[in-house]
Amino acid sequence: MNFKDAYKSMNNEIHGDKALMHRIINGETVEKKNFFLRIKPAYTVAVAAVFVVCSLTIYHGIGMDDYSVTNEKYSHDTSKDNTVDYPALDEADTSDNADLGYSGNSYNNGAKAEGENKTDSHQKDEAMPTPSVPETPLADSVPTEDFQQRTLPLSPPLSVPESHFDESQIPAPESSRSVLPANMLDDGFAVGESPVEYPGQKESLYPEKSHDSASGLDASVPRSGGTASGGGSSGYGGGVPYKSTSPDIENKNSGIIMSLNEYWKYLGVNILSFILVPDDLKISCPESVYVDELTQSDTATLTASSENGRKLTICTSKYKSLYEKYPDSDRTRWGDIYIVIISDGLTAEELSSVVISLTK
Amino acid sequence: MSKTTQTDVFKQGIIEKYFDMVYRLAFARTKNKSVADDVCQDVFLKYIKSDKEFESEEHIKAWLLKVTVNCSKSFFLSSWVKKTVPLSEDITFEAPETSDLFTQVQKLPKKYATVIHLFYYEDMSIAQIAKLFNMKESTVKSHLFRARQELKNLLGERFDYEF
Repeated sequence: MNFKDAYKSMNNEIHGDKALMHRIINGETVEKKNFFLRIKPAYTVAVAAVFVVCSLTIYHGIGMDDYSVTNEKYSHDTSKDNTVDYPALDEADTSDNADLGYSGNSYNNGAKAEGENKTDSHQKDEAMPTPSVPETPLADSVPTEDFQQRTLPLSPPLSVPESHFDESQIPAPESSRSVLPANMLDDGFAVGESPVEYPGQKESLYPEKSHDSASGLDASVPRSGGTASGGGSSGYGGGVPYKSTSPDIENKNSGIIMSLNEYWKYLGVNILSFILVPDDLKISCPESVYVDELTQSDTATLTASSENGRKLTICTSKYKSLYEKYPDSDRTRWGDIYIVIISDGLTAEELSSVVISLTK
Repeated sequence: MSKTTQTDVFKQGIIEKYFDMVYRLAFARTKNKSVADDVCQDVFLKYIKSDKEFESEEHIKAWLLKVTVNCSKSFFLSSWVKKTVPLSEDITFEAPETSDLFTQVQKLPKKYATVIHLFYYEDMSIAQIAKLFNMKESTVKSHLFRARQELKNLLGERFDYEF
């Protein structure tokens, strides 16, 4: 018997899956991707951001060691020459005020020479009748001697090692504290991060961002989904209706908007019931999540932030491949849940406790 | 994304014509129906997306065979395959002799099974197979010789392997 004929007759009885062929022709299948390409680019960027944060943490950790060495040298040098360098302080204050363009700061007036103060008040008296915002009177209300007593600690007490110096003990003038948040003096990014209040007025300058504080969430993690509200979310949810946040979403008509409870059911697990964050962080959740299985857009972003600028962002998503799973193949990881954690300012121990709480 | 695009008529005809050919070669190499389906899908999606201009239908056929071999190779290289054991999937045949032949051919190593398939089923010459795999003709000949020796060991002398 000829092997060729036998082999041909054998192969003629083997046929491919016609249904699969028609799906390919009709464009109902998509090409599989390997593990890394299956992850959305946004997740890749988020993971890269985590690496950057970790790298910066390590970098600063090394820098701290160098700084301690510098402190020793500094304290040694100044112990010989026990003088206070006031001009340096004046320069620093002046430059701060120039950057902010804020003339009502009492640091400015207090640190300047007496003649300059007089010049300032003289000009203001003539040019401006009565300012509606009491800038000059507030500044002048702090006597120069009193201010110098307050600001003296800004220059390190040179006879004492600098490690004893605590910046938090510096009293800020009440007028400046009430009008301008302290963290705004450091950088401009603080705007919108925390609600700013006028004295005796509870209304926030940023009402769309103020849900965190206004909703009365305690410092602990809310255990039931949907109780938390507020913004800070970069996902499709947030405190603002989704149509006004992103014009791209308006073009997506294949998805649905789920409440947070529905989203946890869709995800298969309520992340809020597992996550444990440090006590000073307040978690804010989106009220609703836009889920589009066609484009695999189902990311919910939970943010947690503290008053001292520490932040934690947790993105959750569920992987649903368009690639149809074959009945007897386990290759497609359909339904896997992806969680991306981005931290800013959290220590490695705190971050690992968050991760452990999620993996339990 | 090929989700919304419809395959044009010519490509549709090519897919229908060569679907079984690609599937059989993929099955000969992977020895698994589901994996052969995967490979088949990958090959034709590559064909649909491809902007390559083919000179003739023979050119398309050769391209499809080459891509099938490459896709099968990449499947075996994936870490998923290395960590899993495929389910045993048997194809039923009408004649028991054919079933026995199938069982024995399945035992052939991958490289020999490919050469046997292309030589005996696709009627490709040694030169064509060598060109397809970028190998020397002598290498293909030695593969074919060793494959026949294996088959003789497995099936006995009941078949005539020359033609």
